[in-house]
Amino acid sequence: MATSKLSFDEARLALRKFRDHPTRNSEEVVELWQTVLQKNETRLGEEVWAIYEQVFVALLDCGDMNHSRELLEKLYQRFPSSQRVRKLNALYKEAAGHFEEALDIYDKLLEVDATNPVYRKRKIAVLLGQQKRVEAIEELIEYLKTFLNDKEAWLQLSSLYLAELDYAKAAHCMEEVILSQPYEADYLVRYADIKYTQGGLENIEIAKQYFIQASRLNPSSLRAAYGALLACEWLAQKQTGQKKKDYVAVGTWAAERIVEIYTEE
Amino acid sequence: MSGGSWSTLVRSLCFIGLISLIHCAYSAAQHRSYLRLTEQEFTRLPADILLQTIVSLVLICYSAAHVAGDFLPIRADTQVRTKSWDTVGNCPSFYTFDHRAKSLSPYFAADLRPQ
Repeated sequence: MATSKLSFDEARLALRKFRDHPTRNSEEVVELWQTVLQKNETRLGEEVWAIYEQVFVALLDCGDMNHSRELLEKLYQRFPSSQRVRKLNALYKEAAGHFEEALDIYDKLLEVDATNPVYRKRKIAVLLGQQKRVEAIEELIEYLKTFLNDKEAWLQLSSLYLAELDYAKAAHCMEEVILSQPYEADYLVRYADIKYTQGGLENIEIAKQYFIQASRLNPSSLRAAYGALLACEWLAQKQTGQKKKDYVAVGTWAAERIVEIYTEE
Repeated sequence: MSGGSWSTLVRSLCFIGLISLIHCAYSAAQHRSYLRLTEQEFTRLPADILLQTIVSLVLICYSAAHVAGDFLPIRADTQVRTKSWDTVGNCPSFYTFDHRAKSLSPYFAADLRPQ
């Protein structure tokens, strides 16, 4: 990645964009930090603390414990009694494999601030880090009873159920995610994927409707168009007469959409 | 819409309608100044100006609707559509670090004990 050719401002904007729309691109963040921004730390002003936090997590993700520890010490110096920095310390412990100590820190933080959802979510993440998926699912369900509208938690629970091959519950979780963000085509596609996997006439009919809606919301989504095509193909085989003609018509529309997407590129 | 000839036709119709409407306005103003000069009362505009006004109004409405094009669905979000699942399906609060990156570090540093 040619990050060394980016200017200071471009690198700063890139990091800001990654903070606003978080993607797990830790290598890129670390490279931006090390090649461009670290040399001009003073120019960053007060933003430097947010960047430290962001780069800290990215360094942990890349397995670089030494540099991340340096950043953590700097953050401790600046914010000595901050809960947020203690959470970062617990994160460091998790990455180092010291899960019991991390859980200790989270419990102490919850004593201070019992209603903060962040620490509860991290405790669930600790269970995930220890490969205890079933316990993590149970804890996450408990968490979601209190924090009903946490879209991220529903999304995570859906992925966990998919890993357990429990498609019905994963579909229910995706429904909750769609409730909170109904215009995001990718969530509709994932829900339709799960329904299609479950199979059967009703589920594939639902999958077809969601694929078509996703394709309307995002016309350049190949997965939505292809999913619609497959669903219509399956449904057209099972029906006869007028319904079959409808499915064939919709399937043809989906196929045309796919061709358009490929010719646009 | 079938092609460029239809769209040029409606555009020219729209243009003609606008010119016609301006002509009506000018005629009406001229008519009123004529009545003022001949000291007649102004009760109503002559029928031909009225008719021309209504016809050009209908013409403009029709051609403008066609110039504007088809209806588009109202989008609730006008964001850039290039977000991938990596961004949309990301759950940052649940990051775990037990993946292959651990093999990249030569050793784990000693613990940092908080003060």
